[in-house]
Amino acid sequence: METVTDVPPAPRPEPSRRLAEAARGLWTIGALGWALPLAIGVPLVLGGIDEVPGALRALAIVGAVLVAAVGALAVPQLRWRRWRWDVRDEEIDLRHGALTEVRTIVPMARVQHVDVRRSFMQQRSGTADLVVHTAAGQTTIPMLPEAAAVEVRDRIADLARTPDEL
Amino acid sequence: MSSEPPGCEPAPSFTAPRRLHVAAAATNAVLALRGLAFPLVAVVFVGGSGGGLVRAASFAALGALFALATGIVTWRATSYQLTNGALRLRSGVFSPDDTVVPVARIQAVDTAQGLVQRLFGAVELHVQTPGGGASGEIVLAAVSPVDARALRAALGHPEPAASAAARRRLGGGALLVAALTAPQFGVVLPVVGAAFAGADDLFGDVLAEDLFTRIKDPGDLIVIVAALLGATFLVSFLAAVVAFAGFEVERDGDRLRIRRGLLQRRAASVPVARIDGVAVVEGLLRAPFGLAAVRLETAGYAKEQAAARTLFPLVRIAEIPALLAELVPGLDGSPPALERPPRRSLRSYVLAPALVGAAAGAAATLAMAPPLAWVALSGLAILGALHGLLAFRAAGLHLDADRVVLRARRGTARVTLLGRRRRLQEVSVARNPLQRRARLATFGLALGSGRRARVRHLDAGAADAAQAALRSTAFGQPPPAR
Repeated sequence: METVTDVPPAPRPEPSRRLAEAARGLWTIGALGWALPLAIGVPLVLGGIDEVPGALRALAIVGAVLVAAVGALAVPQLRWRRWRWDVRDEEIDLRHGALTEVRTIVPMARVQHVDVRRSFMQQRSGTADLVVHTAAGQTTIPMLPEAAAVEVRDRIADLARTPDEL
Repeated sequence: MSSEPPGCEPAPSFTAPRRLHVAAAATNAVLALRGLAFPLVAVVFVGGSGGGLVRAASFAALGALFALATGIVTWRATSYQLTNGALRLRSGVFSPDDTVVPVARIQAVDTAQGLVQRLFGAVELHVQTPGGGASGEIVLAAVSPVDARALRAALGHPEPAASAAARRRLGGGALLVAALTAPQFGVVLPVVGAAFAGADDLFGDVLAEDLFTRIKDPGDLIVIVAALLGATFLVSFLAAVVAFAGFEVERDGDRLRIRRGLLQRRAASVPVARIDGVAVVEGLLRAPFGLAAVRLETAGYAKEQAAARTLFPLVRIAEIPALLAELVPGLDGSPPALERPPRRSLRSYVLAPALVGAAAGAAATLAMAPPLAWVALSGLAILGALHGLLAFRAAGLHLDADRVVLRARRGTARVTLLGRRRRLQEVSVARNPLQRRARLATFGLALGSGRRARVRHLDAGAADAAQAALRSTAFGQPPPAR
């Protein structure tokens, strides 16, 4: 009987393509949407409540500012640096995650259809999200340069034409 | 009303738009009445004390009349027909909806017979498509038996002949045990909680205040919790009896036929080839007796409630290989030796839930008097650690030539997922910073039914090897020729 560890290590190509450089800025702007209110709001609100002991108040304020700074400034950069993807004839290969690293493989034969999505901000910066749909749901490669997204979409559409018995 | 009395023509062709059986008017009315019930009760009870019984009765009569009118109007506005190789349902009074399902896409035509349909001698038809779920598919609320037979034949899903094939039934004793051990606490508890909250609203703040002043006494707290659990148990018991009474399953060539239900008799059929996997669920109350439920993973029913996805509600674990060999060939096979998480992962499994338990206990201490508080704190921490230990002991993964077997604890149940390799949609391996340090990783997969499952804290090398094995030999088939 075949067990997991007996499987001979297959040649494992690693994904190598990166996301658009603009992702760093766009993600930072997106994160500021919650980070700024947190960094400003917590000190404002806590500053007005005298019942909370001073030490606890200081701790909460420092914590809120720290979380906001890390979430808006560090995480988007780290996430961009970690993102790698590739589209091969037989599979879509993703590796990403600022803290938790996730490697996902979607076999090409399971792809049902592909979308290219552009938000308002993405249109201005010439980036797009590529959304791959399978029977189980969707997988997104975010923030691709628009030309790359369109190219990959057409390529996946060609490859996915190979029918899957359902 | 209708110019064509239903059920009288010998063989309707369905090319012209056709109305549902009149019973549909009654089911619509019942639905409308259900929608009206709460506002009516609110108006009668809250709208002042003047009038009393007369007032309440007149409101009820008015509501019933309105519901009946709604039922008849929606019935008259609903029609179905077969055109251009597609089944088409038109419904809705003010903004008619048109649903079109190509006949070739139809995976199964299921029947259900509720109390109203039985009263009128009609059946409800559910047209299932692989997309499945609430949208997409067509439900014909009431169709006469003659029409149902003709329509099913026209759609290429004729009524099954009474076959002599071996049938597996859930006997009376087994139903009782299944209902007694029904694993629906998680689902039902919030409902019962909401009912208590509702009672609280109705009886005003007096009860709430009373409860809060008395809750300080441990004895009363226990009484309240026991009452809550008892009510939950009763609801769960009755729900299971209603859902699974008369459960039968048989394999008729390449299809499974499942019949079940006490108040509403349902008959469903599932193509065996469309079954992505089965899940063996060993619930908290069943595992000690070597009993489990077996669920189906199939695209058509992915979004429907648990009962609709049941292959068999209660079975001895030792009998599962025989059950699967008979019903779902290809997924059966001897229970495999699982790749287990390494010993060093025990810490990862136990520590997190123990800390969560302790944190919850600490929060509880804020609301309780000291002796009870310490019990809560340590009790919840121990419960958390125990949960982690059980999760560690349950976890495992195995790859066969065409199966992937994944075992993990989900809530209070141990769930073994047997999935078809060629129906895997996605395979992932994740490592968080703590796992990286301990050379552990979490293996996850997604089936075509939409089911996602994962095993946490496997040896990182083993998780990577499993992913690599699945991507090379595949996902069950060679890479597309180019």
